[in-house]
Amino acid sequence: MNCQEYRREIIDMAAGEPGANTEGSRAHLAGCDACRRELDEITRLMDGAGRALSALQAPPLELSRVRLRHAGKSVHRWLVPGWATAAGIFIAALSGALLGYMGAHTGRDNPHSRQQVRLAETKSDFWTVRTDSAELLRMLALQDRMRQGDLPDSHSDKP
Amino acid sequence: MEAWIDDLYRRHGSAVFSFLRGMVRDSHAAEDLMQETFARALAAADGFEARALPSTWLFTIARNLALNHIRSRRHEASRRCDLNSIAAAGGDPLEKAGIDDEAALVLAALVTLGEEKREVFLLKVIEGLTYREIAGVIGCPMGTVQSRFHRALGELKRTLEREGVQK
Repeated sequence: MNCQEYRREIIDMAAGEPGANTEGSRAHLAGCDACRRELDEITRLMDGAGRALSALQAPPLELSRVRLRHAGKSVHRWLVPGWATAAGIFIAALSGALLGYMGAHTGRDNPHSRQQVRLAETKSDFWTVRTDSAELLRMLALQDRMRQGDLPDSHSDKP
Repeated sequence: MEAWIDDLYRRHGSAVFSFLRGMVRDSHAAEDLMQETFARALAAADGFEARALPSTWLFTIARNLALNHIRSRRHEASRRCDLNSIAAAGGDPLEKAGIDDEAALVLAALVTLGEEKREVFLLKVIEGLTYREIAGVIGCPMGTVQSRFHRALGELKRTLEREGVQK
């Protein structure tokens, strides 16, 4: 193995990896100044990072906050599960759309529907007027014939 | 259950906080995420499998929270700013406590690492997890973890050399 290959082993050894080829690396390090310097640098860097990070003091655990968050999650989980919320919204939206569709085609507020009703009423009035006019004309004709004495038997007062 | 979570915090609280602080680079956010990590641990305690190590389980929760936080924030613009100014300005009382300049610069140099390399480096340095354990936490092959750790070290070394910290 050359230095480049040993350096991978040296990094693993410095990082405390259980599978690192420690014996082989140590043997190489004993005779290679460049790799020893590399190991020193890596160790220094990792120590510096470890020192800096371990100096960060963790704030105390606020059990009340943890409990509150935990309770919030429990309530949410048991009372309003996510799938139930999604299903509810979907059903509500579907019902709304269905009602809207039905209303658009059968509802009284539909302008198209109102026009149809008005047209039907107009037609009905027309037929009523026409029937009344025909009846009136028939009665006038009958009156003329009575005046002229040309009445049919069914209209005579005589027995 | 509370005694269990308290014990978990005493054993791993500092490491989880350091990891979160290293990931999100904001003490207040890290503190909030730490409380959230333990709240989730408490909520998921029933589903905790005894075969998993409590530390790797906790770090998995913490890592997911940190990544969600980072994604929601996305302030990667600060990655390329001058390390000395970051370390000098500090502004974070937690960082200032008992950290020599070199360690502060190393901490600041972590900022230049991408998230994938940073999380591997932090889990290795803070908690001393093996590549296999880290692979379990972040859900990728062991070889990938090893490669990311090596690249993280190389990048940190080059960054610090540029800043005159290492030769």
